[in-house]
Amino acid sequence: MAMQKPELLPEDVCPCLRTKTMLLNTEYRRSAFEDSFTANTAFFHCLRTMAYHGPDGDDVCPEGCRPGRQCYPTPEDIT
Amino acid sequence: MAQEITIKVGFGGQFRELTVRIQDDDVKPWQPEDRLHLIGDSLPRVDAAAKVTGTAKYAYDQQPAGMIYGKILRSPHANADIVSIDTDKASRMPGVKAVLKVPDIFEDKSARYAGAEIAAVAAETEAQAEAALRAIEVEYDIKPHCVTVEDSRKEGAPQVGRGGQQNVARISPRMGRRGGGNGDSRLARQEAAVKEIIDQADVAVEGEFRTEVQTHAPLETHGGVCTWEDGRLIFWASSQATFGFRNEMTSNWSRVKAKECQVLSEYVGGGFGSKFSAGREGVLGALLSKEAGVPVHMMLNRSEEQLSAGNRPDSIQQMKMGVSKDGEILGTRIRSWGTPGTGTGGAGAHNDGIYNIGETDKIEYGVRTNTGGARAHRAPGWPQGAFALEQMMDMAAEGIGMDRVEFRKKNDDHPIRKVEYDIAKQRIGWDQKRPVKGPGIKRKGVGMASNLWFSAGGGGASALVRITKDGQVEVRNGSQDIGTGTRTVMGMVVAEELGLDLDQVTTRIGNTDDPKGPASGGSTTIGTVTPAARLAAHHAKRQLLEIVAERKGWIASELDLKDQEVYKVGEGSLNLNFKDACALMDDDAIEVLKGRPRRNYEGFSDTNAGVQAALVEVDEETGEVRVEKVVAVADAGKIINPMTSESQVRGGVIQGVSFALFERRVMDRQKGRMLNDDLENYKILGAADCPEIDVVLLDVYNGKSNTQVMGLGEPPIVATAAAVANAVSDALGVRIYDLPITPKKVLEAIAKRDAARGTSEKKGERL
Repeated sequence: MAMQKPELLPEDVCPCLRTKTMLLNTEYRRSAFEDSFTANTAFFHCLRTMAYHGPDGDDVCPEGCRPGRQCYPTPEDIT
Repeated sequence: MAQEITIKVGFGGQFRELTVRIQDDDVKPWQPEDRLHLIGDSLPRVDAAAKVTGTAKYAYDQQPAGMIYGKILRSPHANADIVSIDTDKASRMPGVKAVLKVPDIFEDKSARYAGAEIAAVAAETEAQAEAALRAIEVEYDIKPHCVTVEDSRKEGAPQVGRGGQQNVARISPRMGRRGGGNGDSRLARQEAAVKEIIDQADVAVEGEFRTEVQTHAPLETHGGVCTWEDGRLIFWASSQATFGFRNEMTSNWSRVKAKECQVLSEYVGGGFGSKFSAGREGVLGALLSKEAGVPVHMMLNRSEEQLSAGNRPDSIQQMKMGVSKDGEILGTRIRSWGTPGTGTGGAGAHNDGIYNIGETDKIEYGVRTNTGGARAHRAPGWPQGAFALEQMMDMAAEGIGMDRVEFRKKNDDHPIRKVEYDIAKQRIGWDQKRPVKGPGIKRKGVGMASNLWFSAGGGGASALVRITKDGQVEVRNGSQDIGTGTRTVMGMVVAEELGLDLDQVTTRIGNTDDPKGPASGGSTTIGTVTPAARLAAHHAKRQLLEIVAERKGWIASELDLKDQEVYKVGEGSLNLNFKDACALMDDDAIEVLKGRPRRNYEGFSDTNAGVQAALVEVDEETGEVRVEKVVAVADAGKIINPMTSESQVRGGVIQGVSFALFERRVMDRQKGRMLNDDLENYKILGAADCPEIDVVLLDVYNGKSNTQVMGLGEPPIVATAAAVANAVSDALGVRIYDLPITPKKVLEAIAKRDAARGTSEKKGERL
């Protein structure tokens, strides 16, 4: 099954990851994915579980939702 | 393509010229000398009458033909795995049209907090749906739980997560990717360096500050009404991100996978950061409707809202600050913990923003608990961070014997806030004597705190302006107005550009079939949408004037619209009113769709500032704190409509006072359940508790876009609780480190104060 990869996600972050700042095209939109702010106040959820943990039960986060994780989509799923 | 122009930026009487490059087809920002017809006027919201008379239809109010009702079964256990769900009996009950099991939909068999979704039912009536929920049989593998940060941090605490997840994790600075470095050696060097700075400072102050979980409580709960028409999903959603909601419904990886989806959020009863996602309730509603083949009404009740629709995380913040005798902050050490629910991310606190606080050694930890998950909440991380930071500022000022306001000025270089301090100071009566010395019953005090925000907006918005041959004007954008007044100011911007009154422009908002707009987050909606609206209106106007010029034999570049007439620039009216000008069109309408420039222009300031001062009265007999007055000095770029701007500031202050004095999620540590999941026992500030709010707005020409406007939804809540806490300390002569500031905490603080002074009285000993 093919999926659309949202433009704002860093290259290899799972396309099922969602967070508020992806919906804001502002100058600080990338803050959710970088340490540009000194406080961690971003929440990430998974489109499959609609929760803060993924189908494998582990946390949804830009650092963790990467290739190699059990629930990460296979290459043919990603267009 | 870009054009270079020179504009004036600044505020008050202080402006400077700035050369900026703007998008080729964009309009020059309004200038201080421009005589504007509507911008800057206090105008009632265009939807005010609809809202107060009940004709405004919210998601909750929708009743498409054949609509049935969806309800969600939730876990009674704080930590469990679902072994089995038997829905046979429920699906055969009267009126039941569809039943769904959550593990089948969301690939998740865990129920990690009391309130987690287990199953969902749709039935002809709400009572039938609730009866069916009661008939569902669930077998749980119940696990031990912990629902407070303290319990979760204990050695041997029950594990909240699954697999190898620890209850406590460092969330900032971020850990590297899996297998990557975590920067421990860098952090150790930083810790040692800051420790040395603080140790060698003239004065060092420290404190541990705590804030409680503040649950979301918008008047309209989460959810919506949805239906399918020929494979197209139509969703009347209570959403603050219409396009994000649509994305979640149509993504190949969503559980809904709608090929097409229209989201309608014409009126939204508040969002405050909790309504960016469709949530499980949105997905379940869409799937129930699909299975039942009829529209489904799926709105959370108040208990569900309190349990599962998000909150502001709590915090424990340990801070230590080193200061020089002359008032310079040299270094600050910060450690903080907070729970965002079952995860660890997002519970940070912005306790190092606003001021220059020297070399900083800051580490944040997220703590898992078996509680409902946090979400963005009006200025995420800032009110709790400011509560700690601003008390530290007062403590440091007192430590070196410096005036609290002067100390702030010394460590603050924001050009707008430097002016705002004095306004707040004067209007709160900072230097006035407040009698009641000695053993008084009621004492008064004043406190101050600051805001900081980043809300100039950005790209990602387009607006469609339509001018019809009969003189009607309409502006459309698909984003939502969650109560901030976006609909009104969008109309004002278009009316201003066309030289019309506001009631001559119809504003359509909250429909994803219209041009794209942003989520209402980061207080950026107005700064993102209005430049697109003005740009579209400008080009629609030029097209109209081209037609007029051609038909009348005039030169289009010499024409403009003002006061509902066509006029020749530099000369005056040409005696052709707007309606007659429109009648000259050959076609039925002019339609212009324009997108906002993706990036903001260079300007005066990238950030909003803001200062608040609070005056409180504390009853030493009862411990009651009464906030008498809050002066809120705010700026938000160019102020389009002072009335809606003031409304945002008042709302922020009200919510901030509520955070300071009342709001607290109460968890039963034994049962693992929230005890006050309603609006009777979850205390929120009411009308009788509301202080006088003195709003001062500064009009700033910041040059960041053609409207120069910045949002104002979040900044005003940042400072309030901190200003109140500092005022209470000023009144009592003793500091309270925990929110909410309840009578019990006040009396305990008084007892400690009196004991320290050696003046303990019987009332202290009774505690």
